[in-house]
Amino acid sequence: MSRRNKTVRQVANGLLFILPNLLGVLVFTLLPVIFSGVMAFTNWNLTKQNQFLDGAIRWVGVQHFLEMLSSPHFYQYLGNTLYLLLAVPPAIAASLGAALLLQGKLDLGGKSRLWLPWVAGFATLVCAAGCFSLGATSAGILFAAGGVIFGAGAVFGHTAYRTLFYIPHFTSGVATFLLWKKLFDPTLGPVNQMLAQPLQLVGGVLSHVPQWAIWMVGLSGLLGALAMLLMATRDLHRRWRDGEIDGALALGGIWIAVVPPGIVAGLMGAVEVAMILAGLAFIVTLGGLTQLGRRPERLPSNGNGLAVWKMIFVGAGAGVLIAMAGGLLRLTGDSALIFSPPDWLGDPAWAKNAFIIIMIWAAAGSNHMLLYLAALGNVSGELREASQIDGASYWAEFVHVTWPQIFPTTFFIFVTSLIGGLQGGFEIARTLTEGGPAGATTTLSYHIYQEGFEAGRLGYASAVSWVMFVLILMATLLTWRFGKEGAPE
Amino acid sequence: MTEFRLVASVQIRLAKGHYVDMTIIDQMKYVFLAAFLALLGISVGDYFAKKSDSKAEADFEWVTDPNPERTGQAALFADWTRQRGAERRLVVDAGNSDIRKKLIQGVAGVAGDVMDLRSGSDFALARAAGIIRDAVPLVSDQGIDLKNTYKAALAELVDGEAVLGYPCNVFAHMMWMNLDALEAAGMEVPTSPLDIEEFERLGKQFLEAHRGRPAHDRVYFASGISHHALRRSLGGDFFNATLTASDLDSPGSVRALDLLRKWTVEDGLVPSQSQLESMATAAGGLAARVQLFWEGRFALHLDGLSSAVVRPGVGGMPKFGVTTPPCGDFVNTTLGFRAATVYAGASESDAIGSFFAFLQSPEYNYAIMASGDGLPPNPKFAAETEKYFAGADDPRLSECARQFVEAAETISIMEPVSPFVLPGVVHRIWQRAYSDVLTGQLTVREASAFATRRVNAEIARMVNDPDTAGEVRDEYHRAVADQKKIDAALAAGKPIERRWVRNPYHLKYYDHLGILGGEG
Repeated sequence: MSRRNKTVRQVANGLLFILPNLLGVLVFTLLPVIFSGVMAFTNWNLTKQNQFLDGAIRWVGVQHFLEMLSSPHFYQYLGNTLYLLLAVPPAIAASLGAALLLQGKLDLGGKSRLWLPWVAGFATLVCAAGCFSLGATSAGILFAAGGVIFGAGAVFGHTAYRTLFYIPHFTSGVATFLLWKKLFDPTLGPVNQMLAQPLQLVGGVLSHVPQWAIWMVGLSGLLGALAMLLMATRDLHRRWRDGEIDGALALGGIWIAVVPPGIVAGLMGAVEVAMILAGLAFIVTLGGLTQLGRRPERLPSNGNGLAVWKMIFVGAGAGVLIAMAGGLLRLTGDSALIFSPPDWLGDPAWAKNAFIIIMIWAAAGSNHMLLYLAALGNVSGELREASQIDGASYWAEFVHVTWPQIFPTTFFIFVTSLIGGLQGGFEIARTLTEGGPAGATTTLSYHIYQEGFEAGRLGYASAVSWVMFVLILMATLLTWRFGKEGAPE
Repeated sequence: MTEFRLVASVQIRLAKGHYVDMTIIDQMKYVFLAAFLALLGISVGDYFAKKSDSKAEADFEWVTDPNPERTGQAALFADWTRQRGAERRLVVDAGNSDIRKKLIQGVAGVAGDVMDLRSGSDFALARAAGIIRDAVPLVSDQGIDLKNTYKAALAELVDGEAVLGYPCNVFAHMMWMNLDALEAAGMEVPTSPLDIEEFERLGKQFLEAHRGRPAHDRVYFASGISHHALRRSLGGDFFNATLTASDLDSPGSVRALDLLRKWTVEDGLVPSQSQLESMATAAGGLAARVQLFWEGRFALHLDGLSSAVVRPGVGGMPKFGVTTPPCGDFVNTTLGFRAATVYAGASESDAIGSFFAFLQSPEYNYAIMASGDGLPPNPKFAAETEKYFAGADDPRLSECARQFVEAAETISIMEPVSPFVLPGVVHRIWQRAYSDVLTGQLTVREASAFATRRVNAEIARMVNDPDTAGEVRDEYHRAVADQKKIDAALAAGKPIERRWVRNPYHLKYYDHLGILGGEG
């Protein structure tokens, strides 16, 4: 057989192998995407245009997008979608934490920690007994189950933990959400049963604290968030000045850090705080642009990725501080006395936070944990030993040896979590809250379902889906631009 | 240039003395081909195997809800047609009862021949999408009149000369009363009709009698409130008299929303959705609520006749009674139905006509009554109350059935539906307003005003849409002109002509007020 014929035959064989999958992607993915893209600019409505009606599908241009931008609820749904992204950093941390716990045979820093599961098991059983005696039966059952799990790990080793951690991942999403609905039940749920006593204690303590002192703490939280952001900005400036990062990231990093606390403040009704943050970021950006104009840009080193990560965590941290500060500042004399567990799924202020808790729980034992387990297995043992010989603590070893080695995995998980976070929220909202209360858990994906399949407005729903696509594309491109450069040399 | 590096090759013996060398690639090709052929063979075999199943033998497909009674009703239909000379068979499809599935399958051309649709949003959505058609031509040789059902239901079923379906069963929402629970609380029995003040007074009395119960064992006075009935009893509705604009900001509607908020948030007479779910057993849903009612966690329970089908888990039935939902001056309740409709793409089959005749037959109606699955679609049989819950040894059930029949024939009105906006969209807007009020995001007035604006915007969108049929737009403008006449007549204290009014609620309400004139 001539070399050319052989090559043609080999290529043909290869194409034949991938043809079924290729056809599937074309027919079930690419064509519908193109079709949806066209439909986003038409008046397609199931109640007007179908085989039984005479309505014609017409081109309407950007009418749907204009309607979207002028709809009062669209921004709420967009805000809900972005707010739920706050779950991404802690979810990544949870999956990494789970992987770190499960990677070895409880051998941390060269010292055996086999007594840990026995102690943890005993402690949880004691907590269970305490809960039962206080009448918090559901919480007691949870603690008892935890004690059994720790005990299983102590007896059967870390394989038992790995299995238990991963089991929820291949349980149906709807089934786990229904379970969480019962866990978050305001009256009988174990979550509120566990929170009731401590919150009453806090309420009792706060009732003796002067109002001005509570507000001072709240204000401190607010100032703390501001200080975090200022220090992060200063750090960005220093890194840019030293040539670690480029100017685009130095400016973009400010907004990466400011957006989460701004969203939190806006959703809590503190629009002024959100405006102040945005204003400050704008001023700093202007100043930064001026500096960029005066000073020639140096070639950056590979510090962009780490700087992005730092800004993301600063933003999340500032968001949490602002949320806590907002809660404290809203405490009046009466509410300081009445500290009760929230109606997680029935209160607009708490519903999204309940979703975030569920997402973090789901991420801890997900495929991301498996990816991290594999990545941790590939961390060079020689580098670890070298760091231990140099006297590095466990934390120093993690920051300077382990974290850079697993960075590509972290980057991949971050990108996929970002995409999943922007696209998702439908299943959990449909099961738990049907988008309520008061639209607090309606995400863009749920809005697409409502408009497309409850109202039949498929053209408008297609337009919303393309807006979501653009959001995801922008977020992914930004992440690729800055995030992957944090890989170690 | 890509090259495949051969890892191994094998010799395949084709015949004695004949061998062929096969590379890994060649081997995999044949494996894949074999798998493809196997799948193809299985698919073909499955296709021909399914051709011989009951679906292929049936005359038509009936898409209905997953109620075990449907199988029995299908068998009853076969018997009924056999007795009339030619047996007709139907196959029950209970897996596609969701309206969204029916809609997508309908527009795609693959929906079932006969589809059950619930009144209100589902029926209006299917009607707007054009996936159901006039059933009158199909029954022309059956000797039946599809309008032979409850008058209130005709408002939704009839479209000019066309009749879009016939009810399989009908339900009027009334308040079941647990008399034992009321007696245990030392309370009098609520009167019928039940007015708002009495409802509040008795409700607070009931809760006071149960003060001190632990949170997980909390009781409520009523499991739910019919917001339509309440709003209408105070002179409000979703729509105005000509269905051309929202009426949610009228004084009656605002007062109704305020009462709902007060009873749920302040007085705790009625549970919120999350409180209801917190009480429900793992099964959840309506059956759980009925169980809680029999246990005395609710003194009153809003539902149709079918609640009596769910018996208490332990112990016998408590003493029970029936009264109206709490109402203002205008006593009313809502009527609903599950109607059999003909898919617009269904084949022309006389079996479907037979099915509609079957729905009006005594055999079917008595079967509905015996099982307690709501009221029979043919009102001729509804008054035979001894036929309800056949076999049950409790005579009180028949008495309660009589009250439901009376309500269906006298005070019931269908849920509000306007031809100028989808009911599902309106319902979603109202639910949002209601949620905003319950969670304290908006005041009652703000929520009512916002909902009104949104509904009117949706009506304007539909009317101004170039794809909206001309006759719909013309009817809208005629209706708007008539609304002006109604407003002028109301302002001048003159009677309102019946032909101006399109809203079935307003027809009854104006008649109740004595301001409805003749045809003019």
